[in-house]
Amino acid sequence: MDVFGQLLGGIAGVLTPVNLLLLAAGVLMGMIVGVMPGLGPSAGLAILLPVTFGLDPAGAIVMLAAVYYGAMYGGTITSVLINTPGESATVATTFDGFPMAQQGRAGPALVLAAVASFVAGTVGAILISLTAPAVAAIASSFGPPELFLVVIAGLLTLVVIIGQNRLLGAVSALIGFGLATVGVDITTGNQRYTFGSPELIEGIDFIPVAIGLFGVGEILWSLYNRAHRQDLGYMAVSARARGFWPTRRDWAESRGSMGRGSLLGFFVGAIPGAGATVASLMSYSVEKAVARRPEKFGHGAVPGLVGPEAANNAASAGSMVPLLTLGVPGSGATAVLLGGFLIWGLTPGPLLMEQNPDVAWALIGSMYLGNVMLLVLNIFCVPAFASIARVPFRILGPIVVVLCVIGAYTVNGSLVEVGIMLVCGVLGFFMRRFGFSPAALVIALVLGPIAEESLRQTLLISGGSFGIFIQRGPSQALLAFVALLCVFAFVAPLVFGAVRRSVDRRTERRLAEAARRAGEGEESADDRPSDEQRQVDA
Amino acid sequence: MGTPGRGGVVQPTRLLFLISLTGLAAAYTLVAFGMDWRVQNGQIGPGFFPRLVGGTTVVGCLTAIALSVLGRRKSSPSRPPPVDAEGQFEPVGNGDGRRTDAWVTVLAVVCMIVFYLVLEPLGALLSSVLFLGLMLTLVNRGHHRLNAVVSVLVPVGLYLLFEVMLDAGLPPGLVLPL
Repeated sequence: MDVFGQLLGGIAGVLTPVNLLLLAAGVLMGMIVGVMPGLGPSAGLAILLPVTFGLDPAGAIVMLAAVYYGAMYGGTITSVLINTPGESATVATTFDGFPMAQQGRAGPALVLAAVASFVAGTVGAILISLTAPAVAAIASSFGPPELFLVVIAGLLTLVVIIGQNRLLGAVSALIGFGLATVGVDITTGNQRYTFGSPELIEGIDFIPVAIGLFGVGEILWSLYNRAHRQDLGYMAVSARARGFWPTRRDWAESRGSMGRGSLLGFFVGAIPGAGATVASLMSYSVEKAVARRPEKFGHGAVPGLVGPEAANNAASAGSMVPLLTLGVPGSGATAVLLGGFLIWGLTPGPLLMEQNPDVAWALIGSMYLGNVMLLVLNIFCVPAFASIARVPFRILGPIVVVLCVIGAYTVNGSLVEVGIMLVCGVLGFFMRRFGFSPAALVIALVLGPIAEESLRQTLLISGGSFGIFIQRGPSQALLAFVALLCVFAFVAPLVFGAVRRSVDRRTERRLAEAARRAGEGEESADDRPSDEQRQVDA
Repeated sequence: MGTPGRGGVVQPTRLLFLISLTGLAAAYTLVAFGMDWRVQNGQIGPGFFPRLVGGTTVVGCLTAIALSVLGRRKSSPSRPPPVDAEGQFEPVGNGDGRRTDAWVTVLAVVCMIVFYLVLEPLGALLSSVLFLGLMLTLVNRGHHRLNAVVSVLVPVGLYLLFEVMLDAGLPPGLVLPL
């Protein structure tokens, strides 16, 4: 009960009129960014982070959490209405969401997605309240060697699970570590890679880098792929139209999927690096495997929409567990959040729950309130947000670039940082084109100083010996995890292939059985004498 | 995402990018070797971590180049579309025969460079108007009236948000104090 008492305290703490306004503004801005094709939560948070600098830390955290959830849901709107996922976590939403819209059921699809997100957010808030203190308690026994290994394990998970090309993912993370070494060395005071520039003495700020990689890089990539020449097919949605609300049958079909998606999403999301994309795709497979009528999947099946939606939102809550308890972001978006925390003088990690419980619980509370606000705004404002999705990329793209430039400038009022942002934009384009991972770079940039500092402290404790990593119990466990990840990198494709084949076989069997039953039904119908025949017989 | 050695053919731009990256990583490592590995009291020096990072990056880049040239890592068509961590789609670049628009991308980068160069002399407002005008002319051809309206109204809106409401301190400009 104590945990839930703290959660309620956190919610009550952020329930001020100003915070509620910030919450609403954050959700709105997040959704506006989220509905822009190509821009996801990472870009949304990076671009909008400077807007929060004028706020007090609590208000800023509330607003950023709202932007995060708003941007996540914004991607759902474009997935359903124009078959274009704003980011990969909503890819699975297009599989059945867009067919529903094609059938004239865009309204129910969006309402069900919003409710699924809300349910998953609620489950996520409860689970995070239960698991975060426990993980923080374990993590509080960690010393510098374990902290270093946690950072490496988090990055390895990201590279191993998500990226197609693991080598280039690892190189991306190393580039991030390299950029993190620019500036004054904290221990010795020596300047590194500043080349006499006073602007670089304090190092390369992660915000311009994140804005460049996620914002400008994405715009250039979309231009390269001729997004400006595309006229997107658009499914209209109106709250006044008949059939805007889901039917009883829709609700009945979605109940189990919401629960399964929420639980699966949370635990997958809590693994650093795994994230919402993996969770939503796994949820889609699970829903298809357990469905009574798998043949409906891909043609507007409600569980195929609701399960992944719940999973990706629950994964967002789950990803807060490693962020809050270990200080390790599992995704580009949470890396930007971590950077924001550091700017406001908060250091996420095991001590956050002990030393600043009010802040930690306020964040968890604001995440939950963000979900409530998301539900309210979505149900009443879906048509308004849907109209933003109609603005073509050729108009939105250049506007986003202006927003990126202004956002990068406002961080420190530095033109050099605007230049860094634009260079990172071009770098981000090439990284996307050639299979590197911009997210791994940003996470490594944020975690670089922590990794270097913890490695130095470790070697100071051990007198320069790396043997310390195999002498301590927690280190051994983490090393075993890292070793497992490396094995997983080679075994996973085989395992995933086998699982996919098994699910496909099962689905095919069920489809064949359904077809056979339908055939038998038709045959028995044919066998039954028709009215005309009966009359003739009579 | 451009996969190395797709179909045994090396993408020259990819190879060029990897070689450039290797060069930068090598330069980074060289500078790191000019820093101390250990300091006088036996502590780890400022060059320790950069040497580790730089050396590993060079090895990683060289391996990627070797794999590209040898064309050994062919993409499997049965794999799902790749996604990055936060994920955006990682479409398969131009290796899959999809049409791309390299010139518009290059011109967009040129527009951004112009935007950067005039940001201080013209100020945020005027340079944004100029940039949007150029970009919209490039990507939204033929809609002159709409382009003009967007080019003016959006910067004014952003100026009001950041400068007037948030007091963010945008570059005022040397020509017009806006």
